Amino acid sequence: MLDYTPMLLHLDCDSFKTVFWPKTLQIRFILKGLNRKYVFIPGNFTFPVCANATSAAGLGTSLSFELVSVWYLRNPNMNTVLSRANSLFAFSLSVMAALTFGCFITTAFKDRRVPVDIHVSKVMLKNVDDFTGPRERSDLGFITFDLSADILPIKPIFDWNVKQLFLYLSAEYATKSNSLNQVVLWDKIVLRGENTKLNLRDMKSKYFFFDDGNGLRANKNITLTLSWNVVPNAGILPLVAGSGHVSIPFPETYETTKSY
Amino acid sequence: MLPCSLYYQVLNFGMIVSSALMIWKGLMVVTGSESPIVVVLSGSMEPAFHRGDLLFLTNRVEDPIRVGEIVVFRIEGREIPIVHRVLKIHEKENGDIKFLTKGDNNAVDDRGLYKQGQHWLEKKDVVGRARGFVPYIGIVTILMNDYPKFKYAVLFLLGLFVLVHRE
Repeated sequence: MLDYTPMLLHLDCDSFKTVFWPKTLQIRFILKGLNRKYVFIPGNFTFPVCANATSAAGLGTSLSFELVSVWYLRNPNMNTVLSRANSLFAFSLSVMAALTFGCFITTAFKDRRVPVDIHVSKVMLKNVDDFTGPRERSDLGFITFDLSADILPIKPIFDWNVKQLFLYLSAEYATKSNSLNQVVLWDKIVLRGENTKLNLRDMKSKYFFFDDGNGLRANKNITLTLSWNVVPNAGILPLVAGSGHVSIPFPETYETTKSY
Repeated sequence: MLPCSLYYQVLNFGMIVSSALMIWKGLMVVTGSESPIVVVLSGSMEPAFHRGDLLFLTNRVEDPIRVGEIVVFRIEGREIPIVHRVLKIHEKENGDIKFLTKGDNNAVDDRGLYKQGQHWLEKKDVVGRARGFVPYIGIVTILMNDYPKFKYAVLFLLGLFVLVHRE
């Protein structure tokens, strides 16, 4: 005699029937027999099947069961595969979300500053038509610099949550027409796993140092700073400035020879 | 009992939709940006951001735009926002700022992308500054944009499940 009791929960199925499924969707096979009602809910939250089964075949012809199910799930085998795939998918999504959050929260408040050594070897100034943008005569500066930084000191910048570093050397100054100007002279991408010691000598700027106007001539104070943008695997994108900067003045006269 | 449960389902659905809307509008207020979450659509910021990555933006007024920040901006007349890095800024004393951008993976700056005759971007073009980043999540949005049939299939299946499951 088949005994369904171990895998069933003793719940009343009537409440399901009246709230969630109208009578038209129920498939009822009520035959004569025992009246004990058990409920079988196969452990998943998407395709609940509510079945009332009483003890079965061993009673011969008078088996009594009442199967109430959602109409499209006539095949019980399909239910198991789908429900397993469903719970597996949901579980893996939640694990990945938890991992991502963990990556973010463990590195969110880290101090990523590193001492940097910048040295400028040559400065030159010209006054030409700004061919990169508005065609006005603007000051064009040429700076040759040396950079050295060890990005992997005692407290490493590269940890499990850093995908790459975007380094950029920026020049900041003030002029009569603009109270604040910042220009990126050079940048570099350092990926995870690449060499982290920077030792560059006699570097020319990558981008043209055009001013908006003629404010570079005789400008006493141009501050060069090396900063980096930490790009994480997941989380905050901080901009960190290196703790060394250098200030240089620009010359009073324009260079007219075709040198550089 | 049937009409009662139907109203219940409709109200439930309405609650879900309105709470999602509240969360979105609340995020817009907190971050100050009109679109606080964007999906990266192009490969011009590789290897930092690939197509399908999600970016969290803020656009607070007290946070000025500085060089090296990743900004999401819209060019006048074009709908699609662009995610690039600020290369140059010139700011006047009264706070008027004009800046130039460039994508990390591009060889030249963005002046070719701007409107004809436009040399600089201004604060009003900015949608927000990228502050946080989650990889790969936005692939679904890109798939739905590139393959509209997929979008209709997903919507159809969702509707089917909602109806059948609750019915």
